[in-house]
Amino acid sequence: MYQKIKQSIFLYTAIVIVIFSACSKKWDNHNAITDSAVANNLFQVISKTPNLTKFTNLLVKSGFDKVLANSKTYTVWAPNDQALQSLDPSIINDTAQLKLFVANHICNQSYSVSFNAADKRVLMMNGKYLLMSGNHFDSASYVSINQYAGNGLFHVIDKYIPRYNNCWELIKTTTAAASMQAYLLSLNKNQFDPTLAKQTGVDPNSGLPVYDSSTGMVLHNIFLDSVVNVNDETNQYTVILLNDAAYSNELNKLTPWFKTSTTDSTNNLSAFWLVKDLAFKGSYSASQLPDTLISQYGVKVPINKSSIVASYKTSNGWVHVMSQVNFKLTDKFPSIIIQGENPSFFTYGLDRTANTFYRVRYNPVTGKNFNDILMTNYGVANYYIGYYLRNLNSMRYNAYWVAVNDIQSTPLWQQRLANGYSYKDATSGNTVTTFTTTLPAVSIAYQNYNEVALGQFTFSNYGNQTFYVLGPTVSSTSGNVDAITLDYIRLEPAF
Amino acid sequence: MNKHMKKLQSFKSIRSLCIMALSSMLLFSCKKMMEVNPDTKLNATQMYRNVYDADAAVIGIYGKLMSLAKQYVILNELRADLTEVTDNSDGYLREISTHNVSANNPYADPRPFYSLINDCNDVLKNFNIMLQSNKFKQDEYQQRYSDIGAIRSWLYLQLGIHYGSIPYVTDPLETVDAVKDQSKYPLIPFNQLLDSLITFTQSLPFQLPYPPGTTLVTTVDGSTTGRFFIEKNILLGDLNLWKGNYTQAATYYRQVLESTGYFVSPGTDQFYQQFRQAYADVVNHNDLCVGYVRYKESDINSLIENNSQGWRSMFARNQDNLWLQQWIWVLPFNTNFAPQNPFIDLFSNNGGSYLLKPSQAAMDNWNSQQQQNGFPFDARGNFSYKMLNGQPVIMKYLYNYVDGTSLLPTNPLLKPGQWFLYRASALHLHFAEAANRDGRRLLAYAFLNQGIQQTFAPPSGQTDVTNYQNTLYDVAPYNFDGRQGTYPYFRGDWYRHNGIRGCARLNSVPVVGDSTISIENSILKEEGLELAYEGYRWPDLVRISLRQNDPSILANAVYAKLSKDGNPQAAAVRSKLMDPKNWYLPFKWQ
Repeated sequence: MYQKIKQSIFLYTAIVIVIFSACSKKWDNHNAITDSAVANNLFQVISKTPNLTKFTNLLVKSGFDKVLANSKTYTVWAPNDQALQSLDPSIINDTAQLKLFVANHICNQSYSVSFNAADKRVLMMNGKYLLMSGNHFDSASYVSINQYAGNGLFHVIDKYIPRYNNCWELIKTTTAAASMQAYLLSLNKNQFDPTLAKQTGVDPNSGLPVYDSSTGMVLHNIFLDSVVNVNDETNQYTVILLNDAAYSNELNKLTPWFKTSTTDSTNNLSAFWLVKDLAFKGSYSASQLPDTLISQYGVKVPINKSSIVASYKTSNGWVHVMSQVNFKLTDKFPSIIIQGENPSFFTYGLDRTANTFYRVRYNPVTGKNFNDILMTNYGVANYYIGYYLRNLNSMRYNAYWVAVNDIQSTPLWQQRLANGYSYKDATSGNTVTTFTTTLPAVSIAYQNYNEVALGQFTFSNYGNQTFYVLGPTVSSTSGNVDAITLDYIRLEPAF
Repeated sequence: MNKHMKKLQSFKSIRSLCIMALSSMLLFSCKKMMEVNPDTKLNATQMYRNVYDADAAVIGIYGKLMSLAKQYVILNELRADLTEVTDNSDGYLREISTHNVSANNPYADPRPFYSLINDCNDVLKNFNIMLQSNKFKQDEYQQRYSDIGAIRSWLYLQLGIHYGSIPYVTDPLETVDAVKDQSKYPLIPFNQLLDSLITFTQSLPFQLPYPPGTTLVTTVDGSTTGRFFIEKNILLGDLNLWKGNYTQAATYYRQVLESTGYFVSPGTDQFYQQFRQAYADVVNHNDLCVGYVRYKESDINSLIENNSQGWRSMFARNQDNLWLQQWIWVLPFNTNFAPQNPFIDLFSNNGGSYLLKPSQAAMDNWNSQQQQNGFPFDARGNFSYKMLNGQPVIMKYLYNYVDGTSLLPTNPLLKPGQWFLYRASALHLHFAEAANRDGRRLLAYAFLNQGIQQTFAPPSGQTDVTNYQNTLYDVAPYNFDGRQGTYPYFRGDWYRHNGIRGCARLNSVPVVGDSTISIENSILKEEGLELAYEGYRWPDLVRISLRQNDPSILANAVYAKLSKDGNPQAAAVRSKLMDPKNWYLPFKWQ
């Protein structure tokens, strides 16, 4: 009996030992890393690769050897020793520049090379994007590809990739277009950002925070903020810089239409009107440029390729310096449209909301739907709808409107278009309106969907204007005798 | 030695004794364990014992029916012309949209339908057994048996529309896979299927809704069940409309038009308005029509648009009197219970996957209509879809999910909604289809456009409407009284009838050429404008194409959708759909 128990214990132990030992060994064989390249990190593999000794030294010197040793995934485009022979020693000796240079060859995540892959912009560790296109990386060709290590890939290339300026960095440093550069840089403004400022206390009276005046200022540029941000690395742009002769030539064409009280403001306004149409989204090399570009404001920009003085490739597109961009005035100053359904105000103190209809209609002339405003039977003589318009040029404008009467063929009412100003009279306290120019009254024909010519306005100074659409001179609350309708007003510059 | 042997023997006997004891104990315990019934599952003896068990079976069928909602809407809308895939849609949805369906497409799988049909068959069989063993009163049996029988017919109608030829099985099967045995259950063509369905459904003993006081008319998961169940008269009307029995179809529809079985008191608002496509309340806008603020009808900003007034509100409002006037069959999704509402995921681009969107063709259809105030668009389009975050979004299913004003989800984690299965406007358009084909073209025109009163109006200056504003000269089911007179006084049962386009504030569509065909084509177009995305579209296209024997109606509609959305396969799909054989999904049992 005792023997039996002893036997069974022995047997059981033996089985357990066999099972466990078999398991562990088999799994070890199955899982063990046998490829030595994968056991090492990128830095170790690169440093052991022949012909990459110079790049290895730069990695050590810039401190990127430690970056490539950690457990994130990277791709390295390593220039070989022959390529780095020509590298400017001033870059090697300046730590900051060297870091930017080395970072220009390393990116996060693994990008394998495939010769028939589509073009791809890769974000390098210095914030620049470089083009990875089939068998090229930027301007370099591949010596060997898709070498792997435990934490990523590296490819050996036959040229080093210089760190390119972006369009804005190039504009800041160029010497080819001094006047335009000076104007663009004059648009730099410091803006206060409370989230970046250091708070020193709280104002005891207002309870508002008090900031250290030396902190929190951020440099903005109005051109970058409001036209196109050509300082942005993620997208691609094309910028045209005018050399000094072309710049002053184009500026002189514009100044008559920006008459103000001072020469400076006239020049600044004209200059902005000029440069706003000289930066474009999308990258166009000199050979890719079409003969006309359309700016984001819809202005046609004629490009005569023989006027290109120089072209610079940047990290986010191209900058072309040109000796001439001959804008047509009619393109530079397109017609101004005032939509009838967006009134700024009505005759002061007389609310006629109940008589006002914002409509949608089909225009058989254009084949499109349009929105308009219609007022009927409001019972006020010379009632008007007012429209504010900002920044009109010092020029003559031909006025047209589309005013659709689809409510009755008789009686037809008359409308007038005027400009002028309204102010509050100091003594009476009433709002008084003075009309500067009133164009002749026009009868609103039944079912006329076409533009109707109204006359001309002349403005001697650049500035804001107010327009008034006046209804009939009689007061009536029935039969649509009193009515105003307006789809839009078009102001066409007459040079 | 002997002693030793003896010892061994006794040991052996002890051992066998032990084993015996042990195994008998095991068996005993087994038996006891078997006897304890699980708490959360029912066994066969606990089912079909009384009317409450029968009610549970009915509710169970409807609960399972709701899991078909997604497939139903995808098949009936995406195959047709008003719904389009988005960038987020997978290959299977694209296949459905371009009529190039592979055998393993889950949306084209008939098995979920057959699984439910099999359940219906099982329930019907057990109801018969219950009746024989007197666990059921005769009228209780008739109501519930008819309900489940009608559901089964409705499922078969759906299958027939999408698959053409299908096996028609009416006995419960052990497993649903037995359906694929074609030696037992041959595929029967659609026309023959319709005959079987009409014969069976007409023979159902109870054709009306569950009367009030029935144990099934109650509150389930927070919703009242009054409009929870299939409307058998409408199913019969639809079956006959498909078959081409127009008088029969119109007769069944008329039953519902007159609210037969709904117990509304004569003379009340509910009487004049329930299922009668009533005119708008132009003063307070407590209606289900397109409307504008009074005296500001020409102003775009005065369009009535919220969750409690006007046309849009029918998809958002609670089950109040107005809701009851329009909705005939609706299954609500509750946020607290399965099945989950699939429509948020299908349609919403905020909290959903945004898999389906309105096609450009659908938007163009709405934008080519003219309202009575001259606005060049159909306001129902504004309510059926919205541009949200720059994307067109189908809205009908989302009004319970989003805030009525901001159109943002009130709570992205709660996905309430409803499965809209049938409403009065669909009933009116289907009735008009039947009437038009039955020689009542002017009546059909009235139902489509501005209603009976306006269409049969007296000459101007005539105030005695005795002989106008009605069709009482005609026989049932085409005799309507829409009279509203002062001297002599009339308020006909149909005096508030306003027609589909009248209620949408649209001008009437002119009749061009052959009036039957012209009116029928206008009805088809109107079905798209009024009922888009509610699961009627593909059946409507198929039915009218079959009736006119003109596959180009369907093929051109799908072509318009695909070509306007820039699909390069558009022309190929059109030529494929010119052969009606290609209208049907492959009947494959994966």
